[in-house]
Amino acid sequence: MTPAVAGPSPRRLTVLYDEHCQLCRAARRWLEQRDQLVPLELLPAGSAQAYQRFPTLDHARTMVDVTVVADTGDVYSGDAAWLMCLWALSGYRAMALRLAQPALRPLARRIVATAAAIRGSVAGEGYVSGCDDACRHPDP
Amino acid sequence: MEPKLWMYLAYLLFSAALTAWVAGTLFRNGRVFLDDALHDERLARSVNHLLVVGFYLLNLGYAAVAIRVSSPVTTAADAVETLSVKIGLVLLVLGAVHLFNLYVLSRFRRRRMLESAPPPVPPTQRLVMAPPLAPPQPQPPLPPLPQPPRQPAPLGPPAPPQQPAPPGP
Repeated sequence: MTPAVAGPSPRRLTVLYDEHCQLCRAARRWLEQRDQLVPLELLPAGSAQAYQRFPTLDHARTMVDVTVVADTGDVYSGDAAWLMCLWALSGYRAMALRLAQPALRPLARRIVATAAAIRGSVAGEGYVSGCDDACRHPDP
Repeated sequence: MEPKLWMYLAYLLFSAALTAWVAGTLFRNGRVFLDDALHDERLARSVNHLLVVGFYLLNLGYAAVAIRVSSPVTTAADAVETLSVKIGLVLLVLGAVHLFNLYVLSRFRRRRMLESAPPPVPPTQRLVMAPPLAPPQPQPPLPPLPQPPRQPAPLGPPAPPQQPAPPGP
């Protein structure tokens, strides 16, 4: 177990997820139900609140990949964001550290890529995969 | 004294001495381990003591229960042979309990280390400026308001009002 990052450890993480995707909402519920070592705050990506909280963040990018912003200003996206979510959970930190090792990191990437593919396939009509600002559904 | 009796006595003596020796080693070296795992000296001392007591009870209990030899022991050679098997069993049980103890302690320690483990991956990027993330700065205390100079309280009775000077002739 080698420390990947020097410097202060985050004490709060904000997860920016796509609230229009079924899989992401399920992941959000799953994250909320677990015991957390580091408090997780879940915010819909591209929401006014997200813009207000992180004005300098590339929000178009957060619509494509799940993004985690730490209270230290560090930003994690894609598989790194998932690993950070696992790291924040009480029973999953050992798994996060194991998956982050060079031997298993490609596996982590593949799992996240598979999840992204499922996300694209289960999305309802009108959902644009890999979109930028067009991801938001028109209000009914 | 018949061989079986002195074998029993030697067995009890050996078992007790071995248990005391292993328990002493556990007590001395386990303390450092527990201090690191629990980060609390008082708690570490208490847990260490309890572990050693459990260790004594388990091993002496096993030695007492396993003392009985049903086969006849007639010669000295028989006695040494049986004693060796019995002591060997006590050693194996001691070893197993000791390793289990270490396993439990290392789990304790690993959990503790996990709680302070840094993030597993380096950040993808770093926000240049994040005003809402900055912790609120404590406000410096306001300087005390300037007080007007206080008039000394009159000590004697109030002076009578001055009479206007009589008009001159």
